[in-house]
Amino acid sequence: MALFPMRSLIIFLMSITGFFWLASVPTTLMVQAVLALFLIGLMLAAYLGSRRLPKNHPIEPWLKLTVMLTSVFLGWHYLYWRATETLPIGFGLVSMLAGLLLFLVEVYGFITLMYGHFINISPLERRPVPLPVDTSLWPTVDIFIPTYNEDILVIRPTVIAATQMRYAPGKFKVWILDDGGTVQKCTDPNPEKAAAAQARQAELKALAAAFGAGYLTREKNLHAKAGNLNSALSYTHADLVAILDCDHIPTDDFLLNTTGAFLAEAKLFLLQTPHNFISADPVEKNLNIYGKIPSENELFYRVMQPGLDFWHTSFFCGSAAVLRRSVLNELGGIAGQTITEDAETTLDALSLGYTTAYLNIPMVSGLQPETYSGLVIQRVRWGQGMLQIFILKNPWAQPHLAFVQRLLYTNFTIYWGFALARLALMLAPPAYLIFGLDLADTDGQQLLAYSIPYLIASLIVTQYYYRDVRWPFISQIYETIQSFYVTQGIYKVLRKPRSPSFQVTPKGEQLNSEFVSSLSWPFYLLLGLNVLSLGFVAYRLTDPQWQVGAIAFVGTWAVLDLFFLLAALGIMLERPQRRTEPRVPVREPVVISLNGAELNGVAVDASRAGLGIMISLANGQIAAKLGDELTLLWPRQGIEIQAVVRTLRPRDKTHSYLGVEYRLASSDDERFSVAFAFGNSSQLEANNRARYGGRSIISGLFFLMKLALRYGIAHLISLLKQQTGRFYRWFIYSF
Amino acid sequence: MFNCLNERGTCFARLALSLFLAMPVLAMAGPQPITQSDALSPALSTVSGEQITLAHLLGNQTPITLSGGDAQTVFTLPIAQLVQVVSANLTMALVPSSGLNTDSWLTVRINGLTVGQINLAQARLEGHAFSLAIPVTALKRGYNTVQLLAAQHSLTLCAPPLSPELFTQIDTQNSFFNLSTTPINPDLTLAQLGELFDPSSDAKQAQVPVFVSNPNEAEQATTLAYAAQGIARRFNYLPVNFSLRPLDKAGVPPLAQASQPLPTAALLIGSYTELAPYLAGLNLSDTQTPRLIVRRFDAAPARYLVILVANTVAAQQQLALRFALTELSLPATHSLSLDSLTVSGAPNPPPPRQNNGFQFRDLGVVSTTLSGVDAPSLDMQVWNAGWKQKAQVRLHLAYSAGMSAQSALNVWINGVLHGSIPLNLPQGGEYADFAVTLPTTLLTAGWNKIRLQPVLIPVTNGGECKPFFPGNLSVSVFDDSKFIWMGNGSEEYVRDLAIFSGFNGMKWVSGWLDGLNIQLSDANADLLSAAMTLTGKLSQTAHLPLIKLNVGTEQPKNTWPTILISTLDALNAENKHRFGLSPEGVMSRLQNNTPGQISLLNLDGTPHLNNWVESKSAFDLKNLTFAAVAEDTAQPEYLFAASTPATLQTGIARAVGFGVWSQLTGTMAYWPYEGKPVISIGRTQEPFRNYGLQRGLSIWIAQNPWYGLLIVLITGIITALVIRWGITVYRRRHHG
Repeated sequence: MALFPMRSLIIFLMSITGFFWLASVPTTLMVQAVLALFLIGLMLAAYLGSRRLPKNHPIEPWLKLTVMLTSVFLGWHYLYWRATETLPIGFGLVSMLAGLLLFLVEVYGFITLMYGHFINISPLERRPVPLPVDTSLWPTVDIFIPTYNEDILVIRPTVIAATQMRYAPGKFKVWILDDGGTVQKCTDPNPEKAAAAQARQAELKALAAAFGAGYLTREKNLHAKAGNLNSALSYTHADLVAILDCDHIPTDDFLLNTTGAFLAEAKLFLLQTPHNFISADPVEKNLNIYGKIPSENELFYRVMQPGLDFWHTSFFCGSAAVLRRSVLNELGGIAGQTITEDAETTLDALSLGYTTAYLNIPMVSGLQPETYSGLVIQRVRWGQGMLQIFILKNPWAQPHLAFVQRLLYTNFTIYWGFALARLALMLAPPAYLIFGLDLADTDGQQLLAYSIPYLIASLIVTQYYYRDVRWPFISQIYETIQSFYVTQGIYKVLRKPRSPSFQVTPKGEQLNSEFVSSLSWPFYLLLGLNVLSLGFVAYRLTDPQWQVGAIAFVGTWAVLDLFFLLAALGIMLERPQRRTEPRVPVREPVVISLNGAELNGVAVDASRAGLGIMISLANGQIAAKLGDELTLLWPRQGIEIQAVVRTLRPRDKTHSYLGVEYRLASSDDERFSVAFAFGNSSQLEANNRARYGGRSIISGLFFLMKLALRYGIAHLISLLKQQTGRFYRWFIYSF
Repeated sequence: MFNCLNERGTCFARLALSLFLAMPVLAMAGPQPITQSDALSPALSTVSGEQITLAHLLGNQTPITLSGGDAQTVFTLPIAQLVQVVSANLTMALVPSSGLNTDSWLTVRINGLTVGQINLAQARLEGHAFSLAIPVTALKRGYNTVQLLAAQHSLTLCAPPLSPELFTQIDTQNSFFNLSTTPINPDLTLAQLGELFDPSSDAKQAQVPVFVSNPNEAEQATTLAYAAQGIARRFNYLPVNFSLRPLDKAGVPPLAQASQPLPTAALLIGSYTELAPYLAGLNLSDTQTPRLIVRRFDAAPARYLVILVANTVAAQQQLALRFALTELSLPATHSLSLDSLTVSGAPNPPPPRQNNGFQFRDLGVVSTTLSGVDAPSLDMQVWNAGWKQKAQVRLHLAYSAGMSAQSALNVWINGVLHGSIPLNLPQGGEYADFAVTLPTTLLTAGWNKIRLQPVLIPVTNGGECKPFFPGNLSVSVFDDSKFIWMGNGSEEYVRDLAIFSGFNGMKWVSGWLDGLNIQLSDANADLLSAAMTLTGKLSQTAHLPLIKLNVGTEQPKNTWPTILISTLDALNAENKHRFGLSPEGVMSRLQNNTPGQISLLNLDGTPHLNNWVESKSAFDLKNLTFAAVAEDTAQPEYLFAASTPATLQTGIARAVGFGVWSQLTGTMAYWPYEGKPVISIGRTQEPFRNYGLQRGLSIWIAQNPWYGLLIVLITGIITALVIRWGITVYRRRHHG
């Protein structure tokens, strides 16, 4: 795909080359300070200006370019200075290698900065393509809900919601693809396992039958999820295939919003929509910040996917997407060479000349992994899969891909280098402070003049693009907790690219009590090194041979790492999780008939199994107790459902919160409860937006410190108790 | 005086020579043209008086402050070798502190001998100027060490020795030595040539006439260059101007210096036949062997001849080279014949390089011990030809026991304190390799001063009435300490005129000790004189003889570095372009650079230099002497040029003088006659010419930071426009 005429391309390249060449011109310290101050000031003005302008203001692209070009200038200038003046050549082999590694990490950081700019330069905000009035022209859709070992209660609302989507009747069919009830499973030599598989199969068949869905399984569990989907493809025939993970409850307008695009564009292979989560991930749960900060996935789905869409490089994320069957047939089904079959399939389709699209409307409600181990499994799989794609299906060798697409597929792989980079950055301060390695041949003044402006610029860029969807320093916490294990996973793939196997991300796990994750141990080592290096700061400051400026700089870095590590450990202290049916915020008036009284309330949160209601009465004024039966009436919809009181507590002096569990009398009741909680995409959008809203960098730093100190120390105390208890038991049993 | 009846030919020669020799060699002012006068110098018995201020001896006008209970200062009083001191006294303008009591004394010692004491309390009461008669026996010819020692007290008992009220200040401008001297004319031998070429005189420049049979003969150029080194190295640091004259030229009468007739010396080079008149009376039996002779010239008392006589040019050259090797001692005879004269080799090879660095001894620093409470600093300077270089100093030092833990050796870079090395072990200590990194922020392009400042504090017993020993305060810095450049650029030493004055620090890099060509545009007495003056100065700066030397008018056939001495007209178009002296370029360079530097010099608003610039006299090529560096590495790499040979000779004579030589930096320097400044175009003043586009732009932005910002802004705007245009085109094509 030729992007530009040759002459235009030459002008473009010359301009960019000139810009980078100018950024490579060495400067004196004074000039660097003046330049940095000026450019940071310009960046800040552009950033603050953009925040005050209305969305889509004509000047906004120029402000974005200002932020972009100033950060690139400062970053390139910094890297050039590092490469030409500070590499520790001649300080010994170990210092040289460590210094070069640190420099490579910084180069990596600059590359990701550049990719960030490239992706976010012009996000595409699509709107749903309306379907024709004549429903006979609507495409048929098979909705696949693959499942393996998830709890039935997780699958149930997904199936129910999928079967009641608003679409032309007879034009869609929901299929439960049961990989937990395959013939292989049901005839497992272990009778207990076989019985469990058979029971599960029966349950899912009943579920399908109850709500008009289809049930499919297969002979053997080959190629995991990809194999499951491909098996289903052979039994179904619709024009389009919608894939929903078993915990991704769709809204009722999912098909209406997505299928029209396939009629409008013949070459469209995929329309992806955001993965929207209604439960806390382990970071949010264990740090008790769920609902207080934007969800982690928002950065990718809300901000980056539209950017990728501009460059025709949105990719299939495994669920909440619609695919064209004819292309799947042409590809021979979902790809199975790697464990991220979704991105791999997209690459294959792009190589055939098809396109992808992204619709930035949240239309599924899904569950996050609930434990740190579940998160690690998920992320390691993603990282390994992306690396496998690069190694086994080199995007630079695929036909029909545009240069930009190849570049961005490379980015999908490079992104996972963050794990190694984060580890290296955590090991750098101890290397310098404890072992005296010279990582950079520079002094405090120069560090101040060159690296601080680049650091500030990077923070401003992050705030500019992601302020609403990611608070400062939260990304670093996520990177820290993934660093060790993703690095480990990447190493395994590099050794044996075909070896990693698909591991299902556990969902709906029950956590009955608090415990320290067994995966914490590498972070104890890192924390120990970090604390020791902080101790060495004090020692080094007394040694006249050492540069105070550099020690202060690295010491500050070590303090920041300390907070990241403590926050990471806070995440690895697993909190109890007692609720498996997630609730979502809603806002709907309801009437409660309770013990002869009629109370007007507002439903504030809902799940498939229950409702939370705010009543404008003080707690003492409500004549009810736990276990009381009541009737709920939704006046707007005209629906009545029986329920029982499970929670009654004051919210404030004039309001009370009533939590009820439904007594679902029929499948209609259950359909309504699912539709009410999860069926409205506008409600999902509003719920997400309610969590948007950024923090300043300083405020974000204080937030990080608070989390680190509170939950990190709690982890260490819990660990101490655990180890003390073990020692005590060992001591008692031994003696 | 002369018996001209029988020896007519030699008579005239001797007459001419004696008349010519009677002019003063050791001039009080700068180079003087030889002028007519009509009287010989007065008799030697005339006593001349001289007043030498302490400011002159110390080289600055800063008062001397003697602080503390036991303070001293030391300086040197030079007395010319060929004079006899008749009387001497020292007048001192003192301001003792009002806190000093009657036990406070100032002792004056000369060469270790106490010559007088002044009671400081009484001095304060009686006024500020004191005169001490100095016994002439305390003084010696050459360098005299003068110590002023102050024992100062404010209390009878228990005065803390570092109390602030214990001070005496000496006004160096109004403190002076009065010396009455009379010249002497001993019968010097070859071993005493150092007395003849005496650096301890008070002159600013020595004038040495050189006589040869044909001063326009190119063949003898290398011989003359060696001979110039022999004289210049004996003059040590005193600049020497050589003037080449024919043996048979009718000279001019000597310059009348009625009050101060001074010894003079001249150099004669030639064959036995050519120099026969000047060898008369020596009774030389052998007129074949090359010979080095010194003799008093009886025709003019206190006039001396140094004669290099050999019958072939090659032998004269070898003889002159032997004369240049001042390390080889000469006997206490008037004549030395040298049968076997092959001298070859080079100075000791340079010490091995380490990581693009060199040892302090390469910078001319010798192992030094700095002692006392007010220990002096050790200064050195290093040339930085690179842009944004950094360096490391690795010090080898040792310090004595018994010093306070607060003692330290401070490292200053260009006047900025950069580091402090603790000297705090009570038992003394040693640092074998203490590394101090000098960042690019502190190092500038060009000369950089590194100062090692000792702060040596005695261990006190604390408080009054507790005696302590302020002695044994010493730190030694060894000359195997290293200076290491980190990064590029040190190979560019040779690409700057600063190599001339910094040769001592750059000699191992320049390659000049491996061989040097001095190419003359013409075999002309003035140009040959200029070559001699230049070579003499180079050997003085190097503290080493330039043995592998080729001086002449022919194009060198080797690849040694080449200095071209030429008139402007004799330069071909290519060389004019290479040295930036092309007609179309030179005026713009002068006009671009001169006003800027004049305005820097004229901070006090002295108008005459501005007028000189505005009158365009500053750009009159006829008056200017140029020194320049070629843009490329082809030969010749260096140039001295002027409009005429005479101007060039005068110009080089000025260039080698005090204060001028070190101003030759950058890619071009030019200067007119005395009284007007030397303008150097530093490398960073023409950044694009000297450093290429990227580094040139870097330097230009450093000099013009706001313009640099503007360039960044404009480039950013253009890039933003291009990117925006590209995105718009892409969006239209792919998303409608």
